[in-house]
Amino acid sequence: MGSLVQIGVNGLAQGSIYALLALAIAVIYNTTETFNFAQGEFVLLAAYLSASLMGVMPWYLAMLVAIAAISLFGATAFQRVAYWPLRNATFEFVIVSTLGVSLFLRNIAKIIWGAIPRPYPEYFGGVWRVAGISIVKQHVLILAVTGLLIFLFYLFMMKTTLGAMMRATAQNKQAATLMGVKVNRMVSLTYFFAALLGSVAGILIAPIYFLTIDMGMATMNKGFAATIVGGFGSIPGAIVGGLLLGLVEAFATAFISPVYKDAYTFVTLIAILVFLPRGIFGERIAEKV
Amino acid sequence: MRFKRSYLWYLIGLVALLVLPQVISSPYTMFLLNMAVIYIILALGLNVVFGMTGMLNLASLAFSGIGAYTSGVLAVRFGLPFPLALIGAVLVTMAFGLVIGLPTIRIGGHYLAFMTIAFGEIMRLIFQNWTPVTGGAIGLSGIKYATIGPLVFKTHWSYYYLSVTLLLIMVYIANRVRVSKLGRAFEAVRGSEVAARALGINTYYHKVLAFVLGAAFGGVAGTLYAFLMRYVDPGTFTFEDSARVLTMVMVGGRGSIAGVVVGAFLLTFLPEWLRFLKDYYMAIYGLGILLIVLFLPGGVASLWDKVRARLAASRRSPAVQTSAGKG
Repeated sequence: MGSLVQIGVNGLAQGSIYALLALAIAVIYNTTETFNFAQGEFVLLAAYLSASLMGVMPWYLAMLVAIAAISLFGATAFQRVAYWPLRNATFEFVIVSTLGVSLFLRNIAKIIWGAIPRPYPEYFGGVWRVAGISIVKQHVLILAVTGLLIFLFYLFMMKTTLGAMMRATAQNKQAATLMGVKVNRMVSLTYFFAALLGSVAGILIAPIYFLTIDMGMATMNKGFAATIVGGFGSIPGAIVGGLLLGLVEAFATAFISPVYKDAYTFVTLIAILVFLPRGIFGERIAEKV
Repeated sequence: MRFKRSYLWYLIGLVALLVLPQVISSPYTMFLLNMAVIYIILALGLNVVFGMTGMLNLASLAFSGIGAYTSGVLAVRFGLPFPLALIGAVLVTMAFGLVIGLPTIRIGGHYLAFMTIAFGEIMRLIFQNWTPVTGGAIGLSGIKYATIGPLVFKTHWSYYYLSVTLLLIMVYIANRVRVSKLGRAFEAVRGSEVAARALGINTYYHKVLAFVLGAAFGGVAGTLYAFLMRYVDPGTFTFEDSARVLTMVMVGGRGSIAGVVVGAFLLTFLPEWLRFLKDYYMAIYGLGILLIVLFLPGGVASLWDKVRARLAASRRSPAVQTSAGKG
């Protein structure tokens, strides 16, 4: 029983990271109807940048500055270059442009920080032992931060005017424009959130895994899987999909075999695609013509 | 006159393709040339699926992987020669195309793109973990040199003639499809599915057909890869490389066969040409992809059209002036 709780916490923590990425993918899909294949690079850049900044400032400040810098980068330069010029083109163009930017950013990171994996300083190291269960502190931090972030995001989307404007943009751009919503600002805001979620995820997982040049790519793939499992363009779906994948991974690793860790995600994916092709919370409407 | 001139161009192209290996002395360049041929075939396959029919398939490498492993297994474990392994690989990839295509294409749109990503990841994991058949993480080795009857393709030079022959066949097929009724139906589906249906085109049937046809190209490319390397490694068939094939089609100009050939060739050799940039070459490569998508959305093929339009305009303008003078 105790070990079950322990595995569950591990799974939820891992799933929270997938959920953050899936949320970013869903937010971008809702506003722009396309994908950002450089999403993983926000994860990578924030993790490396914060590690470097720790040399010159306290760790908490380094993390905040890195998150702020990457979020602003996503909302401004990144979005202006990789998405905005192609906003009227079909979605494949944005896929290719973001792939190009992703390649660019990853290789620049490789030049700056080197290709060798390195450890990330741990500030929530150690384990809590409660009633025979050991719980990794970092996992608790991940759960708390993700929960808080999702709660704040929910408040923003549902309770503020700006959030309503974003939802309006997602529903119908033209109507939103007629109502005085500045769509270009909504796009900036969307990319701000995507970069924010990505960079927080990067800083949260960095202490668990090493810093590697491919960490962004690997996390993004799971984020995409979570989006499909949860249902495309659905915000609750992204969260549930991420957590579900994390749990499946943790329990299957514990009870079946750790060798196929990545396979479980994709077996879940197949099962979902076969039985619920539009995901758990998938859109019920047909594709827009 | 026009026919003769186009035949002349074909002849020049053919001679150039045949003579090309004679002027190359480095085995590495020859190897890259063979890789370029393989990528061109993959890109042509994606061009049928995505360029012509408008379905985004992000698992090109999964199909080439199925092709490579099928022909590899047929050659190593069943001792089949190259032609039979090739036929087997094409049939198996087409069967996979059908099995994957039938359920996913019905859902369509953005979902298809995602499902192909998922399919690609699943295939990669199967390649990596189904050790008794694929050799697992160590890969499948022991593939003998490709032979067709008495011909043995040992060097990269001789292999080039084999791969280029297959390439010409695939270009021919791609072109036949494009100019046929089938190709026009594919393009109608891409243009507007509703309109295509209104014209009496069975869109579902045509989409599945395009998908299966595209898979066959993957089977050919995979077989060529398996016999070129004589070793198949699961790390080859990644999402990133599938994305690279998509980039080749976009850079070349989706829908244009000549453009896709040029795009795939360029993107295979570009990283090599950029090597003088040392550490920066992959970053510059990424930047180049971005710039092409931003400033040349129709790809290299549209560049050619632009040049031709400008030439035609400059040729026309004096005539316009004289007629204006007369008036």
